[in-house]
Order: sequence, then structure tokens, then C-alpha cells
Amino acid sequence: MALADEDRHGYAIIQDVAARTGGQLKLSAGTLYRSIQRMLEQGLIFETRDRPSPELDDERRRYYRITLFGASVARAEARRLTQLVRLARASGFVPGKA
Amino acid sequence: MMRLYRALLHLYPAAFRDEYSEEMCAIFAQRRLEASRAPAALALWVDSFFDVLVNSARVHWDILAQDLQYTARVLGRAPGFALTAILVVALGVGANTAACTITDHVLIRPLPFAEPERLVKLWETQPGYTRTPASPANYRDWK
Repeated sequence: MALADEDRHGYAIIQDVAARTGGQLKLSAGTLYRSIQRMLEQGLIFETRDRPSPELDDERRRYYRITLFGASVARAEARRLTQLVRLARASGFVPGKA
Repeated sequence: MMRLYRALLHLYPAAFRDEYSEEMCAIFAQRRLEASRAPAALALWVDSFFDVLVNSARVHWDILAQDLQYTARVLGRAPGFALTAILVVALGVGANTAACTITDHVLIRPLPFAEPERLVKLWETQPGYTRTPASPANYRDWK
């Protein structure tokens, strides 16, 4: 999800995840790069050669972009979770309309 | 500081380290800048230490699991070959174990009694025979 709207490097992904979760989830470098390695192997993301302008760049950074397959997997996962929440709500486990 | 973190990253498999260590160091450096006070820096070190410890073990495990899956797939595709290979390996291991056990007991371990260098073998000579094993009764008489 952190790559949904733009390409990001590792640290930017960590910051984005922290911001989206209100600081509740702070990914460690090890967890992040292990996930990145798996997502690269599964074809969900790829490393892009497009880089920002040199004054904003750091040559050690690597930028990642979501693939079409990655986007469809993310949508499928979101649908699955939505369905799950709907079921939980219907069972009274989540506050809100049944 | 960075040298220590870089050394810690050696717990990761070389391929993973080659791929991601530079960026992991950059992230550590960035966090080190943000943790200017001593308690925050200490917390960062503790976090980083356990992060590397846990995730390096997981990455090693991921690689092992991938290798095992690949092996199972390849062997599953040719079960006859797999069975032959397993039998050959089992025979090889068995033969090696037997050879090593015999070598150990016959050549390496000392005999199970004192002064083994005084051990002799007794023979008898009888008409028509140059050498026959001594009978226990004769041995008793000689004693």
C-alpha cells in the first residue's frame, strides 16, 4: 500500500507505514528488507531505475514500484479483508451496522 | 558505530547482505541522527541488535525452506531416481560407518586389558604337523 501512489525507497516506506498507522507500526530495517525480498521474488514489486533529481537523491537508496500483478493482489487482499470485516460486523464482533 | 552495525549485518546470508546492507546502513544512520539523546541511542542499538538477530535467522530459514522445497519438487518429479539416490547414499553412509567402527576398534582403541604388549600366542608342534593351536588342557598343564 505504501507503493500505491508513488515509488518509494526503504526508509520512505518505513515512514509511510508509520504515518498511515499513526505511529503504531514502525517497521524495522530487517523486517522491511525481508518483506521487500519476498515481494520482489513474487513479482509484486520491482526495483525501478527512475530516480528523483540528484539534490533529493541518495545513491545508496533503491526505489521500488508496485507491479500490475502486485496491485491486483493488493486489491484482492483488500476485498478479502473487507468481506471479513463485514462478516465480523454481522456477527457482532465489530461495532457498527450489521 | 556504523562499523559495529555493519559487522552485525554479517549475520545475514551474503547474498542478502550484498543486496540490502547499504540501504540498511543508510536507514540506521538516519535513525541514529534522529536519536540524539543517549537513552534514545541506546534503545536504537537494542532494537537494531534484536532486529538483526531475529531477521537474519528468518532469512537463513527462508533460504533453507526454499532449498528443501526445490529438492522435494525435483525428487518428486523422478521418484525412481530419488529412491536410487537415497539407497546409494544410505549404503555409502552404512559402509563408511562400518569401516570407521572397525578401524576404531581394531587399530585405534587399546586392548581391554593391562600390558597388551606382553600378549603372545602359543602353538604346539606334533609329528606330522608343523604348528597347531595349543589345547586348553595342555596350556593348563604347562602353567
